[in-house]
Amino acid sequence: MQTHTSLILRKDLPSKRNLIWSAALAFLLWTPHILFADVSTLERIVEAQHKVAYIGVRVRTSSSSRGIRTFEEYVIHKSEDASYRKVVSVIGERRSINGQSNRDERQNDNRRRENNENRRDRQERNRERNEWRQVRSLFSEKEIELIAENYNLEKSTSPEKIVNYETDILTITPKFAGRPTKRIFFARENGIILRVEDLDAEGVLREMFVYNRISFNEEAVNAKWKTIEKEVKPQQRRSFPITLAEAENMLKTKPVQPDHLPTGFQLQEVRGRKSKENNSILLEYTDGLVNFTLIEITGKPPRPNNRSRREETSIQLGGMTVYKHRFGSTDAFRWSSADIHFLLFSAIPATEMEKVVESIIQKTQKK
Amino acid sequence: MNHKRIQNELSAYFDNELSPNRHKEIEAHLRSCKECAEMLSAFQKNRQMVADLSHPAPSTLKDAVMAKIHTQFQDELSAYIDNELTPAMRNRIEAHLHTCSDSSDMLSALRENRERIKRLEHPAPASIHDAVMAKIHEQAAETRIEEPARTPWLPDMGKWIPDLGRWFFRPVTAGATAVLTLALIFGALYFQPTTPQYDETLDFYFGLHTEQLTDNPLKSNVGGPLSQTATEEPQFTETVDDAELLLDLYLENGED
Repeated sequence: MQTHTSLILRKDLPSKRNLIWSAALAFLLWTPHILFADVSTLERIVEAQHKVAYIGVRVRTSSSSRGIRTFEEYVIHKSEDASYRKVVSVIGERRSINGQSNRDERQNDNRRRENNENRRDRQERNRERNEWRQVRSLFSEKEIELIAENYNLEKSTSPEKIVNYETDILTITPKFAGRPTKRIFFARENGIILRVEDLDAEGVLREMFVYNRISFNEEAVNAKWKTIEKEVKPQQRRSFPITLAEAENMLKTKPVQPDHLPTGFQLQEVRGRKSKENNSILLEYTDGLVNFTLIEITGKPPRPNNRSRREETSIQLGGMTVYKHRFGSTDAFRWSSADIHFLLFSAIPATEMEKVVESIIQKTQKK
Repeated sequence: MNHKRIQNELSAYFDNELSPNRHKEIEAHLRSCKECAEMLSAFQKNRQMVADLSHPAPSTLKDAVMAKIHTQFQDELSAYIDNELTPAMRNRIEAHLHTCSDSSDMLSALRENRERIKRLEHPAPASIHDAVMAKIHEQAAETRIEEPARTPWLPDMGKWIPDLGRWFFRPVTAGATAVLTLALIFGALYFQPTTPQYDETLDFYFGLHTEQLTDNPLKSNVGGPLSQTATEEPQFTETVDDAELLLDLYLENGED
């Protein structure tokens, strides 16, 4: 920085023109440092996931308007393809942050829960919860680029140790309003993530996990892997990656893409899903950190369950009725147009998403 | 004349069992045929030798045999009266009755007893008949109520099941059944979708959306604040079910 400043301040430079060139040169030398200095940290973190095996126990908390849920889970990360987690305990009850729910409220809650047609037998579900689940960490270069474009990255030294490891922090703060902030605490020695904090647009800590035991000893990882190898099985995802041309074949019509996208968002992936009742395609858009998913379905429309019907609100967008529902901080929009049933899920502000919905409606109306 | 044929008939000639004409023919032949005459002579000598060897039966044997026959016939006398014997046995008993006074006397006694018993019999009063029949009808009606109604074909199952079994195990039928079964199995496998079926509700599609985000520490699903706007009073729009759903989606992420 001193070098650049001295270039600008030197009085013996021959002309004004040289001064401008020097300033431009200084900017070019300086900006990559700003833009990419901490991208390398992010890349190091991603690289560590490919190279380092570990085994540990972590605590994960998730807060919603109803309170905080905490659970402990084992994690074994042998390689990118052999990475599993298993919930060992769930702590905390469903409670409103307004205080202890009264008896009627609890009864209503229970009734609603039991009436929910999508809930399977509770015992069966609890059994399934305690099975090893495959972890798919989707780190891609494209996403790193997008994060670097749409967020500010800043590396700092953390004063606190996590499970006896010195840590650094990578703070990812948004350049645009309504986006979240992420703080990644990682082991200084190898770049493995030890703690992650997700803060919403208002800076409220909403989700977090932190390891309270972790080992990078390969022998320990292999020994544990041998004991669980027979229990675990790779799990198929419910949708599969496709091209836009394949998506057109599936829908029998060209997939509708929004003309309006929130700043920094790009189409990341197209996925497809076939079932007896319908075909659906998923258009995944991302700004690197936050995703929104546009689902287009032909055939039978998705069935809103009783709860969805009860809590849905309808709004008029582009001369069409669009049904809106909230899942936590995620907004869901549902409407049908031109024989396609649309669903849009996103955690970015609803006002932004309404513009996306409107652009899709206008496009389908032109068809 | 055929010597062999005559020689075969010599035993019957000797026993005087031939027709008179034949007897005369063989007699004439024996006068002219030395060979056959010698055979007859040898035959006579053998007979004499056998007769010389035999001993007279003891006198008690006949009595014992006759006693046995007598007892057997007497056992059959009741059946003879009731006309339950075969015609041959009936004839033998009748022949025996002509010669055996004891058996005749026994037969007469049996017949006399029968007559006496008949005279002792009194017809049952009509009321007993009516009462018994009423009781039988009543029990039959109760049985019909208790037993489930039988399908008309069920009692006949025993008749057609063996036929069906024979039909089923014919090579052609068995082969056709095997082919049909295989076709059904392969058809079911072919048409069965490989992906598991889900209840395709809004929750399910929300699960598809979060599936991408759950385990990726570089992703965030907490963009917007919980309250709608910063200016309005915090409104807790989430329901219990939402909180549970979000938890479920995390816990069950990656589930088939």
